[in-house]
Amino acid sequence: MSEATRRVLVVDDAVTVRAYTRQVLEADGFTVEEAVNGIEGLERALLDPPDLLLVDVNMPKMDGYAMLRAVRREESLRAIPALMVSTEAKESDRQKALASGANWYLVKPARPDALTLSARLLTGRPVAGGAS
Amino acid sequence: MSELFDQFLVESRELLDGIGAGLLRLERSLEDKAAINELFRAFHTLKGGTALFDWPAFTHLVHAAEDLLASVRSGDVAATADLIDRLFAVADQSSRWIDHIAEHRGLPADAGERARVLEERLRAAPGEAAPETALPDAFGWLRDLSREEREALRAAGPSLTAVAYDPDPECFFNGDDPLALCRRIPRLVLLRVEAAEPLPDLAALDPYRCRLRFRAVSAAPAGDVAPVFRTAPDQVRVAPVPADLVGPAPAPPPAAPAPGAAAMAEAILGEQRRILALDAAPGELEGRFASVERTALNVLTALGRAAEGAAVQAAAASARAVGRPGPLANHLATLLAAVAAEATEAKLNEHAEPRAARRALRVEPERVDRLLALVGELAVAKNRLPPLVRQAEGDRALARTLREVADTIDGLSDELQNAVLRLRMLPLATVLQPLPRMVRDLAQRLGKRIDLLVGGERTEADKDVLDVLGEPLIHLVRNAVDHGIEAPERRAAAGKPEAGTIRIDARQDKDSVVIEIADDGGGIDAAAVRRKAVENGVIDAARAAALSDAEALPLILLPGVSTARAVTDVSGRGVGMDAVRTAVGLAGGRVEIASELGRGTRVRLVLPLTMVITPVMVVEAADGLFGVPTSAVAEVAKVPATDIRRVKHAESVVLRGQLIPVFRLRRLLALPDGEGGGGTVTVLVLRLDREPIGLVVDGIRDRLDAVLKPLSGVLATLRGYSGTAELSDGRLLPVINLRELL
Amino acid sequence: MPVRYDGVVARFEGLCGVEEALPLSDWLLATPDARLDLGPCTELHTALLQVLMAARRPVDVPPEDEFLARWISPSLASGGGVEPVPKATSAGGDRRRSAVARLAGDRWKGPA
Repeated sequence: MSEATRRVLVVDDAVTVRAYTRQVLEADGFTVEEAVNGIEGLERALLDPPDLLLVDVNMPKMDGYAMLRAVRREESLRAIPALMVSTEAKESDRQKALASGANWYLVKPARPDALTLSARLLTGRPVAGGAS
Repeated sequence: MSELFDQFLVESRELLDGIGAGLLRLERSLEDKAAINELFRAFHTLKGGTALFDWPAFTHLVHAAEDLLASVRSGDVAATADLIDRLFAVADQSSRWIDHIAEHRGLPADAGERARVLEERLRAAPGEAAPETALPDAFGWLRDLSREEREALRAAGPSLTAVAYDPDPECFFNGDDPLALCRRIPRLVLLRVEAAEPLPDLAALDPYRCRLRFRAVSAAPAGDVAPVFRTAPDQVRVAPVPADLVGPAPAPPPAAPAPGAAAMAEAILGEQRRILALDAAPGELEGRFASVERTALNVLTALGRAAEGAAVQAAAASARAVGRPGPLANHLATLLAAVAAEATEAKLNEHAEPRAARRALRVEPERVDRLLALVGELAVAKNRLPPLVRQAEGDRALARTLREVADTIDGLSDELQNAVLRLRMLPLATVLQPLPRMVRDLAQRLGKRIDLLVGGERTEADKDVLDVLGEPLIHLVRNAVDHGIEAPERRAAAGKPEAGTIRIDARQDKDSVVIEIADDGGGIDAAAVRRKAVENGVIDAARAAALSDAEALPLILLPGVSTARAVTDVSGRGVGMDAVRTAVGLAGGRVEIASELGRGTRVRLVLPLTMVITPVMVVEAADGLFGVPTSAVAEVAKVPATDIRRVKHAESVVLRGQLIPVFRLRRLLALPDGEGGGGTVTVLVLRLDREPIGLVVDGIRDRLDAVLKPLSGVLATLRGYSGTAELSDGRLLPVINLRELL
Repeated sequence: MPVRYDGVVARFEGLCGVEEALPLSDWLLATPDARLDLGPCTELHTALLQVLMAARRPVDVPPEDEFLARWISPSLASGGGVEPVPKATSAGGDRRRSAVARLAGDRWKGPA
């Protein structure tokens, strides 16, 4: 099955994280767009809804929680799977992410293979040949 | 995190110990292939450990050492004494960093700089020919990349080009725009814009002087990058990034099914179910259904099970219809079970690979101590059985059964105790390990040549014994290096080989562990010891003269007696032997010393294998209970109070025709005196040294096997007690240190 | 059409060259509550970047240009908590912004 390129919107205020994520995902065939905070993330998503939101927690202007809550309230965006990344590994942080609208959670810095595997599963791209 | 961190500390210290030992072996025989291999592996493992955390300076330094060893292993670089020194320097720095990390959870601020200096030293090692890893100063910043930056570099590919661009301050007047040039760097992976020195306030800034500099990494070859800077060749340096700096590129996505995929799919589906169970704000429920539905569909599609998507959509539709997550959540549960089965299968396949090597179990000392305390309590409880047996003697059948049960519990308790004590046993290697390195460094400093032979590292002893042993051992070995072994010229003049020998040997002897430190140095001059002892008033001249040489030597263990002519910076002023004796004595051991002038000295430390279980006798004094080590009690006598005779302040009693000095426990402990006079008194006859001593107590309670715990807190400053034991009713029993008290 | 000053707002548009450095520096010194909109900037001369770095003022709207956004933004203070400068570029922009404001709710106060 020929697969259309999946677009991932990376929302993170740290340029190195964005660059890292971009390198990893582009190497695995994703198209990556970037935004530096929740506001810009929403703007970009509204303009052209991506296949996956990859959102940091702490950002200026609007943090990841607020952005995801807004996404889930907006009809044109609400179904987009969201992956939240954070430096916090605590269960309470994970739960907070899920409650605010994330569908999956990774602890930063996420390993490249965890990142690509997550992105594939969340966007419905075959995971390296499908199930065994 | 914390567990991983602790594990890292323990592992690193072990590795560094091993590295020290390996370097010494290599030094002894520069061709020692096994040592080179071990060193290489140890540095490699250490590097892996540091890479788990974000300490690039540490990782790079260790990596450089590993590289150097790889070259030695392949024969490209010869192992030399100089090279070993350099590696020692790396090991020392690593140890200091580990200590710093243990305390501050991170590297000191100067780590980058130190790593750089040491790495340069490593690279400058003669014979080391690796120009491609040599990095000009202008690229030092490549070592300080953040984790993300390094990952970005790694992802960008194996051959990278680094750019250091320091524009001329006047470059704006030439029409240059450095930033615009950087924009033209092909396949830019990293760009850092930095102020060459801190920027002044805006008011003080000359906007037409360039004060910025640029650091960049490109995935294009240097040949493609350099032309960008045609106009400013003198301001830019372009060089390939050494591959070791960023590590290998991640393996391309495997074509075979990713083993973790099923497991992660399961986890993601599980989270979707959980999301549905979380409270949602009114406006967010619809969004939640939609995103969970889409996520589940995508996961199924990714797994190649898109056909099962229709059922998910139906379940989501029902959920929306009823406005509750129930239907969707239930369907997810079903789905989860199906995917989970697959994940388990994948996991099983993964485990089928033969990689499960037997791993040693690492147990924290506190846990073992807790276990030991429990065993001690069991022993105490067990001690209450014999009185019960006696009470039951009226009923012979019951008494017999009780005795059998008591015996069984007794045996089991002893076995348990031994088993736990064995858990606390550690090989002496842990205290012997630092010695070779120390001897090497000291000998170098003193200009002596010394061969150190260590044997019996596998001998085991209780960890408390080892803790006690460390310091005295170091002291004795220092003494041997400093005062024992002579300078090479003197040895040659005396017809000895120029290199001296120090032999350390450890072995188990029944219930003791014996450590012998022998040197073939100048020996101790017994006459000088006598003289010194007399000078210091330790002994009077007449008695000193009467001592044989062998008897006089132990005087060196007393405070203030030293025979070293020169006070070097190594052994201080000879107060050490006294400290050795005290430390070993506190652990219940002794020091023996033998020496022959001109031939060498042999010091022997004899310590108990374990120092934990102490049989004690519980005695009463002024309504208090105290423990007295049973080993010191030769006899318990009841004598009429009138038999105790007083001469001035000293009391004594005659037992079996022998005059024994008597002390009263109440007085020794500064407790109120009892009603003197009538009846009998209980006297413990103690045998500490040769002469028996009597100790008057109010009464005797029990005997028990006590787990002695050192005094802590305020009590630790009290003299006269060796620790406390816990009684079965939870009371603490102070155990008397008779030597100190009497 | 490089740097336009509109009250307390400096808007960087298109190609912003070295000749803007001195006026920008003067304007920043004279405008303590300056607001910076780099959104439409496509090329920023090093001299201007240096002035902005020395000024240490938050950038309210980061550049949309990919190169600048990725590599320059880290060197500049970001405008934490400050309202973005209204971008009167296109009607589409306004529509988007109001949508964002609506979505963000009380977490973020949109332009009046």
